[in-house]
Amino acid sequence: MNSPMEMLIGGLIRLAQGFIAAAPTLLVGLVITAILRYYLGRSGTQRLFGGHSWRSLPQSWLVGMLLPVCSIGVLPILIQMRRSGVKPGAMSAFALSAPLFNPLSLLYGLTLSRPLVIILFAFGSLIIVTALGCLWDFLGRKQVLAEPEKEDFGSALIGTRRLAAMVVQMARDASGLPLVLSLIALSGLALLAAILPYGAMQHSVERDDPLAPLTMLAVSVPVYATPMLAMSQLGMMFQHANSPGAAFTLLILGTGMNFATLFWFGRQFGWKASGLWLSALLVIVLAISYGINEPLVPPGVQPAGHTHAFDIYANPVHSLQQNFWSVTKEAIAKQADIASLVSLVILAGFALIGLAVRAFRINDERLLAGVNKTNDSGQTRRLDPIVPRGVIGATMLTGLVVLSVVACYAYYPSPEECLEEITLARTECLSAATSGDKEHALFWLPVWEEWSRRLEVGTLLRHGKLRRYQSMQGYLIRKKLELLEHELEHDPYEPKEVRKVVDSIFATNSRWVRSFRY
Amino acid sequence: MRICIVLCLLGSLVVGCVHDGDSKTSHFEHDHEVAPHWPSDLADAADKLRRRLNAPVSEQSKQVAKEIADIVSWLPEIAADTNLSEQDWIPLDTASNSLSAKLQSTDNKMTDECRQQTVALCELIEQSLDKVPTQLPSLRDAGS
Repeated sequence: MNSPMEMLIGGLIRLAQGFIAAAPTLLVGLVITAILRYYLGRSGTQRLFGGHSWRSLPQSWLVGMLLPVCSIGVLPILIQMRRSGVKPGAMSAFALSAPLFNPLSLLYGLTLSRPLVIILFAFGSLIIVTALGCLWDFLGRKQVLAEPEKEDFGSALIGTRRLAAMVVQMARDASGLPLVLSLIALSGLALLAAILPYGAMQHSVERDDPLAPLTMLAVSVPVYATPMLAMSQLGMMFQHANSPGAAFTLLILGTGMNFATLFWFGRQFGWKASGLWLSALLVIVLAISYGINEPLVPPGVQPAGHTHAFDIYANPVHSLQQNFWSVTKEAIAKQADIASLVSLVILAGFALIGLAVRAFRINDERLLAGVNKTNDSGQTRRLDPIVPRGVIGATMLTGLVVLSVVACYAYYPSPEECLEEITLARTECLSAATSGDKEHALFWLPVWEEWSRRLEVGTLLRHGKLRRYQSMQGYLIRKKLELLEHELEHDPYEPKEVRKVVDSIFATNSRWVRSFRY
Repeated sequence: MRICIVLCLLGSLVVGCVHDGDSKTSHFEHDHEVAPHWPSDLADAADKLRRRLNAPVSEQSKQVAKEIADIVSWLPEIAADTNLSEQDWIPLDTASNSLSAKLQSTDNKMTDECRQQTVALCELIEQSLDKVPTQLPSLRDAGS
């Protein structure tokens, strides 16, 4: 069991790490919310999510799959959907599917194990959101729906005023309910860190363990995971031949929802209905998990016996560590990449503006004041027509999807560029490992591993396929890198053992790199 | 709703309580498990397969059949961990995948067809052994 101090420090570290990880997608969520409010408006938003037709569930699932948000970034969008009077079933479908995949994570997923597995997972998620959406709509029929916004504020705003309104809206959200909901979502991670001691999940989801999907179910409900984190964990699970059913459970529940999703649905639609929705979700996920557990076992993979993929959900402080400050610093530094830091700064800026906006009582009504005079006096000019806001909104949303596809090319560069980065990481890692500089080697090891994945996705993206041989060599290099990590973590340091693993890695690296050059 | 949360937390507690982390000096001391019948190299894979195929019928248990299926499915990895070129690796990978699928469909039962295919795979492995260069690809490239 964790000591009270470990519980507190570990919980706070996980909370901070979660917030850093969520920052980019929360920011995207705020932008999408503002676009829905001021460009698509109520009718446009309803149309986007299929209105009241039978298409609403699959269409919401598809929109969710395309937009790059996580289960925290989806929260402000849900609030706006509710304001716009979108059907509850469509909201449920969107809430669950949007965080599961985005173009970046989907591409990443296609290079893990067999691509068919990820396609089946996506199909499984469609079944779940459809079943739950139908249930939710059925339950919703008995309820009085919340009144949608009486006024479609965005319709009268135009030009710079509309942009200002967007900024005000994002600022209000960054300092309002979505922020509170984000903290509720992250409390799940803090709770898990308090309960689970360091490394507690290392043996919990083995392939032959019949309880693996059930164990993962218990852990996944409070978990908050970004789509990329979940995909990398799925990759590790396939590499270690862990339970495929547990992997599916983690993807749907860990990535698709969090405590705040449940809280928000409970507040909006009643606790009883939400409890029924959650129970149905758990039953369906568990049924599918046990159904696929055996058939999707990756062939030819020897179970490793343990995994570090879920260490991130347990307490980051172990009983041997006394210096809590250095643990905290190290854990947060590991999480803070450039995209997260930039997003955090922007979010902080919006939050400050939000506080000012609230203090000065700036709202839509104030921005609307005087706008009618301007519009009435202006005549429509041929070369300066007023583009319907729905067209601008749809263009912006399409642009966001296109931008995330373009981001795929930036995030997964060409194989040549990846190989250059790999050469750097390899040199640093192996020379540090052989000279006994464990910390330096352990810093570069995950960098190398990360670039090995990017190399594969970058190749798939540009050449349309990844050869079996390339894939196998990639698998081997990651397996051996993990062995090196274990050797480096051994206490005391064993130079002969490390040298043996390094030689083996060197040989594999030579074959692996060559397979991408020729 | 509350009941579900309580159940989830209880589940998490169970996962947490089975951990016995305090007795260790390192939290990474678990090495990866290696099956006792994991072949040390390609030649050993062929040898292990032949020995199991030639075992007296009385000794051919389900366990032996399972071990044959395991070795066949591991073969692409073992072959990829040698200096065998990609061109020479592909036939081994294809033969291994084909046999693995067949064994899986018969629930690892060694039918005559499976037996013949396993023998053919052993021969293919033995032929491949002569093609394994002693030098690493990078050293060969540098020399040429």
